Amino acid sequence: MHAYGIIGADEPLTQFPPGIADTSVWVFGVNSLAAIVSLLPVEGFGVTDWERNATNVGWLERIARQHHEVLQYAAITAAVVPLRLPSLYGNLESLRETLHAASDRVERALGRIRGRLEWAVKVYRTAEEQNSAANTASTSGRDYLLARSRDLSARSTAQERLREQVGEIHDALGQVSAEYVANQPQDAVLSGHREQMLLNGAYLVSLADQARFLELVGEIADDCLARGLLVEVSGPWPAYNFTGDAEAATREAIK
Amino acid sequence: MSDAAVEKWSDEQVALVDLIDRVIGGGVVITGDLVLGVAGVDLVYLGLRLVLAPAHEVEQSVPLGRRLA
Repeated sequence: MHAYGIIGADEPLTQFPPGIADTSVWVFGVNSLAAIVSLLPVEGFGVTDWERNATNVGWLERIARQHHEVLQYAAITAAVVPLRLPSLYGNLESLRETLHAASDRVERALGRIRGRLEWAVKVYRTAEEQNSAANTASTSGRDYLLARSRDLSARSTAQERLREQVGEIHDALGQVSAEYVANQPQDAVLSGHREQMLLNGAYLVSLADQARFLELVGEIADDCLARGLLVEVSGPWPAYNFTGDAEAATREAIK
Repeated sequence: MSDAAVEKWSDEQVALVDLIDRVIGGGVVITGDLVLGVAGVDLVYLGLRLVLAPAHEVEQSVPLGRRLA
């Protein structure tokens, strides 16, 4: 049994796209909450399969995409609390007990994201400082060292300024958001961008403020171009970044 | 806003790294009777890196999907 996410029992959601392994997805009510679930094939999707396929990206990608598609579909019409992968339960009774025990926490998470959607904004650095000591025709070793030391201090000042600018962008977007968070920037290998990622922000924006938020992103992006920064926005996402209590989640996972 | 300034992919396929960051790094954990430990999740991250990154870059790279303090 796989659970994708939790919605309020009163949400009128009945149809979903195919779930993991193209299984049918339905809603399983537990008091005032309802879990979006599907019954996975016995073979190939248990905990041992997760352990065995931990480094099998192809296997993981198929599951991750189908898990996400179901949540993305639900998030368009309902407030949905995404469950972290893997989210496996032996049977419906086990899921019922688990959800019942966690209902206060899930209700709080639902309240937090109701009428809000998540947007992602990334900022990359496109321009590099060109005037390095290595390029300067130095007449002596001493000149070279002086030039190099000037370079280093200029570079650290520039880095500092860049950090401030990015912080200002993050806070400006945060002003239009109910909540916002900066995640660890992805390195170039994973982001697929050669440019250095400076900001990997997530913003929880109320439905009424979506247009305003995107307009602000556009203004910031235009402004950034001249400063050698590239802005990238994606969304709306299900509220993956604003439903979990990271600490509690870790504690539970370790238990 | 100029189209060149903002890249947006609402209707396109989501980048795998963004997806993994969210579906494994985000969301809520309500403990079932079948739980993959934290070490298992780190393994999944590592697996993603091994496929996407040349071997020599894996060692010096930072873990992804970890929330900043």
